[in-house]
Amino acid sequence: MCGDNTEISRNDTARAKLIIQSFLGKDDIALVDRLLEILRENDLYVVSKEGLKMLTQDAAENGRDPWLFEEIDFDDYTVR
Amino acid sequence: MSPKTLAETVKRLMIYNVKGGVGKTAIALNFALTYGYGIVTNDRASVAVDVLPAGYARILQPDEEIPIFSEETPILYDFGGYPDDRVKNVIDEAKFVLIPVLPSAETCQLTLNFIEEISQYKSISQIIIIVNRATLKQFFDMSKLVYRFFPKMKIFHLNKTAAFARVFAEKKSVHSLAIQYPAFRRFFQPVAQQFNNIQNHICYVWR
Repeated sequence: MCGDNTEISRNDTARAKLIIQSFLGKDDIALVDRLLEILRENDLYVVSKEGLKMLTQDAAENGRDPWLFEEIDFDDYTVR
Repeated sequence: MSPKTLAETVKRLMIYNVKGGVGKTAIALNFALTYGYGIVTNDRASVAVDVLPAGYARILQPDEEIPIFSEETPILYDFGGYPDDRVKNVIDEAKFVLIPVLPSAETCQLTLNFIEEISQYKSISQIIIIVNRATLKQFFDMSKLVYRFFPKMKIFHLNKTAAFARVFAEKKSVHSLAIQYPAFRRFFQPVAQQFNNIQNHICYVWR
């Protein structure tokens, strides 16, 4: 139900890279690639904040804990 | 993947940092309780002997040689201090060296200098940095810092959590505690998942 905004780095790698690149403010492609890889290895994903709200709501409605993280601010995006 | 798979796959692990207070013993104990490793440590004040079942923890005296164990016995070396010959021998024997660091640039720099030294006789692919007691933001910043020195270094995140206090008190892994206390699953499960991430990586590399 949450669409491709919820886990962008799983569904749309190019978009996730652009988000991280924009956050870093520099064109170090190798660094962006590595950071995305590190997030995946740690079971973390770039998500839109709108998607994060939907995930939280979805989890609450289904009696699950969402275990969301909202400590990284990529403007309209975050990591969970 | 069953919880025992890591110890079945990799019989010798090492947790090490020259610096103290980075969470080596807490991490080592959770690995031991989760996957069935015995612990050998050079920390004379280690609580491992109090937490693990009898015979599963051994504290080495300063000049004591590393004991010889059967190749089938899963051993986790929990070592700190200056990398003397004994430490170097264990680094050489261990299939992976896990290096906990705290999320500060200063302590991380010290650790990176030390990794530079041991990387002369240990492959970078067998060294894993664990950023311990870190927020997600701190983990992201530390990842950028590590990348500048070791672009391919594997780096994993452990939350800042009080879960390890329960591990010590109840002598059970965070995985077991997550099952035992469903009401506090949210407290234990993220840490258990973070240990699974490390386990999955090691098993993937060593398969």
